[in-house]
Amino acid sequence: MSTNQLNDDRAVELDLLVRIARQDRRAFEDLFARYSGILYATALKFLKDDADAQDVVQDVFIQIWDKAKLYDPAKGKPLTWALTLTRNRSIDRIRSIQRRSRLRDDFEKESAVDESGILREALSGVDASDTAKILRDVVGQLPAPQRTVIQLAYFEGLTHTEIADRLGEPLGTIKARARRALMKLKTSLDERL
Amino acid sequence: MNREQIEELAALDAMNALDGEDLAAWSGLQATDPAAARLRDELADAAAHLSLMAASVPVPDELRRRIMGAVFADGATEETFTSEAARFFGWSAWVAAAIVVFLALAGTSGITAGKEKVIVRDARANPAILSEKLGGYGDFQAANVTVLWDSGQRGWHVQAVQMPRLPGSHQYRLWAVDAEGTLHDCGQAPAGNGGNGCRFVRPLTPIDSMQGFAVTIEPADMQSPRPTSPAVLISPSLRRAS
Repeated sequence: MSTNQLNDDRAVELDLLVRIARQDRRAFEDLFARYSGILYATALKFLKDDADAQDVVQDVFIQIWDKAKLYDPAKGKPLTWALTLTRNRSIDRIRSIQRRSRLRDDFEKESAVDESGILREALSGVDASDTAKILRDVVGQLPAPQRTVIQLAYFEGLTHTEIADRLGEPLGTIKARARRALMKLKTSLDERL
Repeated sequence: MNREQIEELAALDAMNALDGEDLAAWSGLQATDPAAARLRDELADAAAHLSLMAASVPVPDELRRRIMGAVFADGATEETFTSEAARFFGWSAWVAAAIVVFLALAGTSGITAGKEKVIVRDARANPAILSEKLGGYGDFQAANVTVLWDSGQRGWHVQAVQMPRLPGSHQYRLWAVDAEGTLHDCGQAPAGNGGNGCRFVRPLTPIDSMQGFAVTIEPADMQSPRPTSPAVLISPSLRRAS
């Protein structure tokens, strides 16, 4: 995918969001066609439950329809805004399930293993877009301790103090790893996307 | 706070991973330092790209219909029910009951044909009843499914409690049963982790009048428009009929 193509996509998606803010149905359907697959895949990755993932995707698209006028281009690209909505709703649901479910212990056991879970699955994926391949390359080059912090913070929704407790590491170490990982990610994406 | 510390807190906040004193300190800094706030937004944008490592998965047609239905739920007749007042169950019950009385008094087929659609949207055998509790058979006697009509969204909130866990190859399916006994697919019934869940459903095909609901167990990749197995939970009205 070329830089020009990405810029074109962003311009089109920005225009779609502006039209959705005016309650343009066609624009919503176009955005749905563009985003639904990746948002659904994202929710599935987080939740590992089809019914829960479908509920999250439905909530996110309703939120896009209702809140498009609140979208601020300065805070990120349309796609990453939608992905953030999906991620946050998925994490909320995971936390809710953890509170209510007897599966909490199983979940924590799964999460306790270094480099377990979603990030490792994502890194080992075989079918992917160019963007996904670049991301896997970038994330794959991060040191394992930094990947673990991303796994626990981004994909499992733990706070930095929870991560420090989980890993038995000082808080300062967790902060430094998060900083190095995200700064590296940002720099690499700026260069390659 | 030096540059490195700002980057640390910005990176953690970009993943919503800050808490405690650091969160308070960061909130104060962001409010007074636009550069710090901008860095946080840039890192959040970078973090969101992590989701793109997942390969896109086509959305099921049913989900697409559900979303489009929820977003574009309008129309001339429906306007009556999308007003704020009609979102309250008590008010919608009054409206539905009033319509039934009106239809009985009018007694003309032409008017009935026109107004039937309004009743259809209520889709309850008895407009005074806002919710139905489905009863289970055998292993499902401890399970509990409650269906609650939502006039604002013209569908039902379905709450499931203690549904036995199914293997990934199967799913629970909710069916609306019309006056003729025909079953209308309403989509997947909720049963999240722990057998509990809640979701909003609506029939995939129009219904002229209602008798109740049934839940069956179907293959996860279900293609059939009809149930392929006996019901495990049904409405009390259907239990009496059967």
